[in-house]
Formats: sequence, structure tokens, C-alpha cells
Amino acid sequence: MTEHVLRVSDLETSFMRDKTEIKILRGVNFSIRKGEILGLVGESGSGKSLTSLSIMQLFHGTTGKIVKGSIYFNGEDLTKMSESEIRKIRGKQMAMIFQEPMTSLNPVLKIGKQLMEAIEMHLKLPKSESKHHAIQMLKSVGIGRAEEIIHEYPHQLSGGMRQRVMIAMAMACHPNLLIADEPTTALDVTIQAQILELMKKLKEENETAILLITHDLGVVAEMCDKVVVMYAGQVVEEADVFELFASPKHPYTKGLIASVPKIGDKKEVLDSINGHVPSPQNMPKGCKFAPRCNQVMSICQEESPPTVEISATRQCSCWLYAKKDVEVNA
Amino acid sequence: MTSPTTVQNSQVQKKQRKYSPLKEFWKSFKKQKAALLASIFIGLLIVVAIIGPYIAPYDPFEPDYDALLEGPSASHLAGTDEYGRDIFSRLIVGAKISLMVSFSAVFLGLILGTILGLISGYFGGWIDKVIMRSCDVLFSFPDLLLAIAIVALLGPGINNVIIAVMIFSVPSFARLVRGATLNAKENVYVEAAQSMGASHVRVLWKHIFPETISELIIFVTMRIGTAILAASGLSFLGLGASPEMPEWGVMLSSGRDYLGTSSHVVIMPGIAIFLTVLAFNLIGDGLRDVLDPKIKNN
Repeated sequence: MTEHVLRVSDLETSFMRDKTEIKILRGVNFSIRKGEILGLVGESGSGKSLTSLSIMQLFHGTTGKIVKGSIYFNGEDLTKMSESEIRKIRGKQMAMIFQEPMTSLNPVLKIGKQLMEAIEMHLKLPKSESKHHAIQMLKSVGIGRAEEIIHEYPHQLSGGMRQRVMIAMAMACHPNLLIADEPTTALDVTIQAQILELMKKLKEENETAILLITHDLGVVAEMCDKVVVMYAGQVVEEADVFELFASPKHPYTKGLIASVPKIGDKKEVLDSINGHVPSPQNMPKGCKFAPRCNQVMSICQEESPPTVEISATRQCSCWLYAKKDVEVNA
Repeated sequence: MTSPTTVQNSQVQKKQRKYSPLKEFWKSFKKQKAALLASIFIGLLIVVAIIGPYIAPYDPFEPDYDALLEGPSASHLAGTDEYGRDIFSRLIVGAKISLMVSFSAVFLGLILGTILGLISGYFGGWIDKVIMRSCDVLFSFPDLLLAIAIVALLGPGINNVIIAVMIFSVPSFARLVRGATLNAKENVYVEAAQSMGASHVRVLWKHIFPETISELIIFVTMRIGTAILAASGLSFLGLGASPEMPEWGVMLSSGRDYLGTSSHVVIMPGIAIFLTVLAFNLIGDGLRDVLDPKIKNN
């Protein structure tokens, strides 16, 4: 198998509020190989976006801090790097696409200028060449009139076009890793499909690994090779995409999959998981999901479940499986 | 590809490219009659300040003991002062001093205040606290009192007036820019720029500073009025320009003794200061109506 582009191990990130530390990520583990698409799913507040910000180390202006763990990117630990070393990686080897294409471009700068900024910064090309490269990138993301668009302002483009521009910007230096934080959430369904298709195409051309953060399980099924399910700042299940949808293990994953409404299903009330993600200040003892779990046992409220390896590609943090494991061993 | 749609697109494009922010600005600024009039006045004043010595009908320093304290007449448009010097000529030449002092003081204050405000708002934390608390200290003095204290420390003189007015302008600029920065740095495109590996300086200069410009332009014009007042005030108190200079504040001060008998000696420089400050404030108001997006659509 090819080597890992990114390996996050035991990552803990917290924020400071009134001099007390509030831990948001509590030990996140996963890895992405070259050319692989990893889906990171979970409800709002489960720590998906913070995981991506931790990888990029974009805590600027917040009190966020990585307190424990390491992030190996191409074999080097990002948590041990200085700000200026990371800056050289950001945008060049590791780039990010944001959820809101309407606001992620500076409204007062022309598209070309914003694209060329990144190109000039990292590839150190002269102006004429970087302009050529910018047009090339815009064409590669399916923008036909690239020569004209570089002279336009973001407000002259539609949401889908802007997201294409963002992708062009992110891919401009052919990064090894692309972090896409809900890249299609703000787009309508037909554009969504086009953007996803585009990301897939670029991935295949450049062998870029993609960390796709989403809460849309449809997108996950369509795009990903591997899925990591997060809940309350922890990874609860990691599996191959087919395995996950065929036989979800963790009760939370089951709940998530069951919550997806099906077309043609005439239900009065949609399925959902009762309750909501606990706030970081009042995390329950034991399994964080226990208060909402429909298969809860007494041990769940006492102790955090261990991470159980179910198969080579599959892990799950739940007492349901740990127990079986114990029984088998006994 | 020359399908009909592309042709159409490029036509639309040409139309859109004609759009120029400056034209747009001028279109809405034209409608602000008071501000327009005020800017014409200031424009003339600046011209006068530059070519003043060449167009002044009399030598502003030349005493004429045959025409002491004469009221306004055809030969002396604004009358003469206690040495018989032509007040109109002195006002024309003095315009240069007043404008120069206020422009340079505000400009220096703008640069320093903007840098401090950007740093304070962008980095936050202890540096923000230090800068803002220092500003609070400066704010707690009345403007003119602070200026008096600074000039008293540095000694009287036009250059020290500039420094004093600059120092009390800095906190206002810093606070304004900090507020705009706090707003601007929440924009996703700032985060996006950071995620592309842009350095702090680059983010501040390219993505945050432009957001503060419209507010700064408004504030600068307003501030110039205040600076003229303060500089005149300091000169009036004998802390600024030397007594023989045709500075407006000095003229007010030296005419004070004749207020009862020949009030024009005080009224003329008073009107000059009043009109100039009013004009700057009107321009500021007009600019706010045009540039402030919050009240743009009304």
C-alpha cells in the first residue's frame, strides 16, 4: 500500500475560556493515504471542522491550541513546526476549500489577483507565467472563459463558479492533501454533483488525498474510500465506505444512517437520534454517546469504551463490541 | 468557441468593465450638495495656500502705520490689524500654515494609529490590551489639555504643535481601525488567505486594511477640522506659531485686545477658522453618506 500522506494520532485540541481549558477534540486518530478520499462525518459540534483547523493550525485569533498528539504530514510532525514552516506548507502541499463559496473570496480583489497571489507566493513564478498558470487552473476546473474571469470580481460569479475558483486556488500548487470543509453544502444539488465530480477528477489527475468533511451521507457514499465517524470530539467508528453503509457497527453510525430520509418513503415523522451533542463543559462520564444511545448498558455510563479493531480496515469505539471481544478471549 | 452566447457574454463583459468605483463614487457624491460646495471651498483654499504669497494684495508682514485697525473697505477687504497689516493677505498666507499643520498632524496620526489599530485588532491578546489601555489613558485627557501638556513638555513651536495634535489623533484612529479590523478578520476570505499560506503582514495589508479605508477616509476629513481647531487653539494660547506669523490662531489671539473697538480683527480669522472646519465636517458627512454601506441605500 502507498504511504500515508496524513496521520493524525491522539490529537487533542482545546480552547481557553475564562482561564479554564475546554477540551473539544479528545483523542482523534485517523490517516489518509495518497490519492484516497476520507470522509469525516458527524453532527454539528462533533469536532469535524476543528479537526481540519487543527491540521492546518489555523487557530489565529482564537484561543485554540493543540494540547496533545501529533499530526504527521508527509512524515513530518506539524505540531512541532514553527509558524513560518507551516506557512510554507499551507497552500502549497496542503490546501483547504471552505463551506461558503460566497464569502471565501475577497470581494474587492479580482479573481485573477487572488489566484495569482497563491501561485506567486509558493511557486515563485514571474507574473506573466503565474497569470498563465492561473488561467490554466481555471480551465482545469471547467471554467471556459478563464481569460475573462480573471478580470472579474467575485460578485460577478455564481456560487458554483466561485467554488470552482476556490478549488482552482486550492489546487494551484498541486497539494498532496486537500481539506474540503463541507464544500457543497451551500450549493444546489446539480451544482453539487458537478463540484464533487470535479474534485474526483482532480484527485485522479494529481493523486491528491482529500479529507472531505461533510454531514451529507449521500456525498460520503458517492465520493469516499474510507469514512471516519466523529462524535463529541472523538472518532467512534472508522470503516471502509462499503462496510460502513452495509453494516454500521456503532449505534451512533446506525442512527446517522437511519436519519437520512429516503425518497418515496411516506413517513410522518423522520427518524432521528434523540437529544443532541453534549456541550464540552458537561461531557458525560464514560461513553459520550451513552445518554442518547438506544443500546446503552450499565458499563457505558461508567467507563469510556476502548477502540476495538473489528477487521483490518475497521475500528469502532463501543462497549458492544468490546464485550464480545472479551468473551471471545475468555 | 465563438457561439452566440460567448459573444453576448463578452459584450456584457465590456459593459461591466466600464464600471469604475471612482465614477460610481462621484455619481453619489455629486448629490450631496453641501459636501460638494464644501469640497469646492477646500479645493480653493488649498490652491490659495499654495500660491498664497503670490496673490496676496499686500505683504502680510509689512506694517502700515497710516492704516491702523481700519475696518473692511475696498482697499483692505478684511480691514487691517493693530500694525496696519492687511488682514486679508495675512489670512491667505496663513491658510498654508493652518492646512499644513493639520494635514501633517492628521496624516502622521493616521499612519501610526492605523498600524497600532491593525496590530491590536488582528493579533488580540496582551498586545491588544497594552495598545488599547494606552489609548484609554490618552482618551481620558480632554484633547486640548493633552495637546497643551505635550507642547508644554516639548516647548512651543509649530513642529511641536504638529506632534501634539498627532499624539491626540492616534488613539482615535487606533480605536477606529481596531474595530474595523475585528470585523474584517472574521471574514472567511481572511481564513482562506491564511489557509493558502499568506503571512500576517500580507493578510493585514491585502485583506484587512482595504476594509478599513472607507471609514478612515471619512474620519480623516472630520479629524482635519479638529486639528485646525486644536492648532489654532494652541497658537491662540501662545504655544504654537510665533506671534508675528500670520497663523489664524495667532491672529485671533493678538486681536483679542481690540475686540471692543475693532471687532473685525478677531472676526475675520474667526470666520476663516469656522468656515474651514465647517467645510471639512461637511465633506466628512457627505463622504459618510456615500461610503458607509450601512446607510448607502437610504
